[in-house]
Amino acid sequence: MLKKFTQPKYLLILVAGIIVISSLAWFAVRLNRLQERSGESGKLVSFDYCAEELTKLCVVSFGRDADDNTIVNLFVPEDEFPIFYLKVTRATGESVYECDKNDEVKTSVYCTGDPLNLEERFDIQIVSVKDDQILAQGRFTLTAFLITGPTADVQTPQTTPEVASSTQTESTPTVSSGTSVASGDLATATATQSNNDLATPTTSVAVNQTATSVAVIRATPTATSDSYPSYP
Amino acid sequence: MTVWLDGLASLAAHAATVTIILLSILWGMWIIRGLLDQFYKERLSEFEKLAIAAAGWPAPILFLALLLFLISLIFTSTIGLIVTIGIILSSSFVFRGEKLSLPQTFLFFLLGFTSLILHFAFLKDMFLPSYFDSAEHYRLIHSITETYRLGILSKELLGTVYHLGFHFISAGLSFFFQQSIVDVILVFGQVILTFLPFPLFFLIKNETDSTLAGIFTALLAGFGFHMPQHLMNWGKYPALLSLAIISFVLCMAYLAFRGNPHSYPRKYSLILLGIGILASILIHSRTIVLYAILGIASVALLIWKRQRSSIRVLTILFVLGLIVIEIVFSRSDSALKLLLEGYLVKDFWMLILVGLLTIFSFLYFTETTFLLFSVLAFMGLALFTPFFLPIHGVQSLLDRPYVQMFLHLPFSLLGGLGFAGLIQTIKRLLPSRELLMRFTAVILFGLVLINIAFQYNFYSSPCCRFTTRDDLAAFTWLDHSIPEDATILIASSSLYVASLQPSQIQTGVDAGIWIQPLLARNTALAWQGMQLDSSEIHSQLCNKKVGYIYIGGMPQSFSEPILAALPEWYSPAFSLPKAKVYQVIGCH
Repeated sequence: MLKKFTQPKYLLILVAGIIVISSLAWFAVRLNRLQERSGESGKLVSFDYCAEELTKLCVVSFGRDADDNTIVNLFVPEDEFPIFYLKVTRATGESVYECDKNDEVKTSVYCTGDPLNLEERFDIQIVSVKDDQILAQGRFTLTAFLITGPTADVQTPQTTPEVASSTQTESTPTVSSGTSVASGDLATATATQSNNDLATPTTSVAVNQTATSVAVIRATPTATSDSYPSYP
Repeated sequence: MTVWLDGLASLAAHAATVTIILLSILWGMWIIRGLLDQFYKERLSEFEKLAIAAAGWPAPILFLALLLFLISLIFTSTIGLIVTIGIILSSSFVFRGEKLSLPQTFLFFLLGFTSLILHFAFLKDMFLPSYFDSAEHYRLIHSITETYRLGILSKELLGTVYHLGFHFISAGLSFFFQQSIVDVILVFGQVILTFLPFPLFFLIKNETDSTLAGIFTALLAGFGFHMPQHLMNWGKYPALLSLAIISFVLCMAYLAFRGNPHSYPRKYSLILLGIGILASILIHSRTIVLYAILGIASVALLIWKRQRSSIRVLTILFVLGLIVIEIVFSRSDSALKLLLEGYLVKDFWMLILVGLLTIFSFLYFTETTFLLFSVLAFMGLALFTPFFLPIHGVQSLLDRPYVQMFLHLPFSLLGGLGFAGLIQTIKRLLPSRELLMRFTAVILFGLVLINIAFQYNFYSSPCCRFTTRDDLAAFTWLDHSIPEDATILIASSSLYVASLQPSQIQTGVDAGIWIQPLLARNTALAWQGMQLDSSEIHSQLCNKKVGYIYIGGMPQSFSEPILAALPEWYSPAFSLPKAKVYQVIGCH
């Protein structure tokens, strides 16, 4: 009786069936989890600093930008939150932090807003842009900005930077064969980055039809204990 | 237990991409299985056919992907897609084989699914593929998808003559199924890993006539050594795909030259062998060297077989001596010494086990063992043999990562042959002690399983995970905040992977390598130890119009304290613990 099920069409149906059932089960679990999170007697989702396991909404790190604004780097589970902004409540009042999501990795969101001080205690609310509904909240103490060196003391630059129009690159996909350039010397940019597993060259990518490039600036291209090894 | 849960969680997280890639692979396997059925009728068992198909699937998928690309380029991607669907449907019917044997098919996919779950633990918390190669793979795949989208051949692709296979297959899957390129790369790698051990079962099962030895070999190849899983830490996806098709070539070569010509007509085996070699070269050009080595080693075997036994013994000693010399030389070469260290450190106990089993392999399967040792010896020579390549200059025939990747294959085969040899030894010496034979088999399997439980690393290595979540935030900030034509300086280092290699090859050493492919921004590679505090360097950065410097969180990233100490030259623009962007200022 079972013999007819060994035919390819039945096996394909079987495989398709397993896939469909698995997908449905997966969606059911996800839906259930979502309902649990949002519906538990109207409780808000609470969040904190990230632990080792990144499974739920959490703060990865705090930082600063050029204008001394505070950056809040968040892990946000995919598809579980709509577009949002942060409302930070401090002793001095409330302020809004705008957020941007990474195009490629949707779980990465960073927000920027008014400067926060070390040892300051504040509440962060995650608020939906669409309807201003509070989605999650957490209480934080900024114990450290985790910024090394004296960067926090550095003022916003006064000098307007000279921004390049483009780098000098050669479009020929060849590895330059010239001799090593002396320490501290910047050679004319030459497109080279390649390796055995890579196809040739890395010049001008036609991404979005905008010419971009990778140049190589050479300085002391010798093996050192720091640079070694490749492919550990 | 955690590994299983992490594997399942990663599978669930990538469910759509996994399904699409698995269905594509199943189509490739279906075609290969159908061909095997038509050529060899029922001389191969269902499991053997599936095992070979598990190695040969990249060939049909690759040829279809190339055809899809050509049609899309000449006409439109929609026409390309319609033709492709037509080919998939018609070929599935034309190449349908005999009825599938349900129990063996079930067993095959049960083992495959188990392996899949375990391999997916690697993707836990992985949001971008590892190391610097991956960024280049992303860039190439993106160039192909842009060609699909715009219908114009990307200038970038004209120079891309190597490793078409992985990039074209991935681009096709990404574009037509609307999957993220990153997801396709991550998932594809783990799925390829899943199917890699099966063809070795076929080879050893047929060579030794022992199913257990075949399974033992597959177990060793899948989880016995740090390779091929460690390839994912290096982001060497084309090399990984090449391993699959190499196994297919080995299987076909085995049927063509070692199989019974009445059971396995040679002309069919040669046709499939040719297809396999062509696909293999398109997937990874360095496989040509490998096939040349296999050819030379096979000729050496034929000559060796005709010699007197004393000369044969001397030749074996010579080959072993040659390998020892190569080991000594490679250990003294800074670029090659990691070759053996990788195995000695990570796979020490498995090397001991395989080493012991090799004695039995030599006793009972002398010819095959001699062939494998010859291959090892010639591969060692290829590490020091120079050849000139127009684009890359003088290089060695093989580089260290490629040999390191490949070594797990002969090691696993030797282990499988030795397993069968040991069982035969017991059978010969103690014919009445069947229990002892079973006990020995259980012990050998147990040793490998214990090694897997305590030694095998199912997760990605921090050595090669360039990108942290802080880097992702920095990328988003760069994308939104800096001028489109700004150039960003990223840290790099010279590549040291071969005894002969142009010193100019530079590679990224932190997440900065992803800026150009992900954001389409100009980047400039600079040696990671460059003296950024020298006025000469600063003025040259200004002259080169480098606007920003990216500092990732890797040990070889630029030194942040140096930049922070010079606020008149470098201004912090974005700062998170593991990712910083400095603006170059003070240019006159």
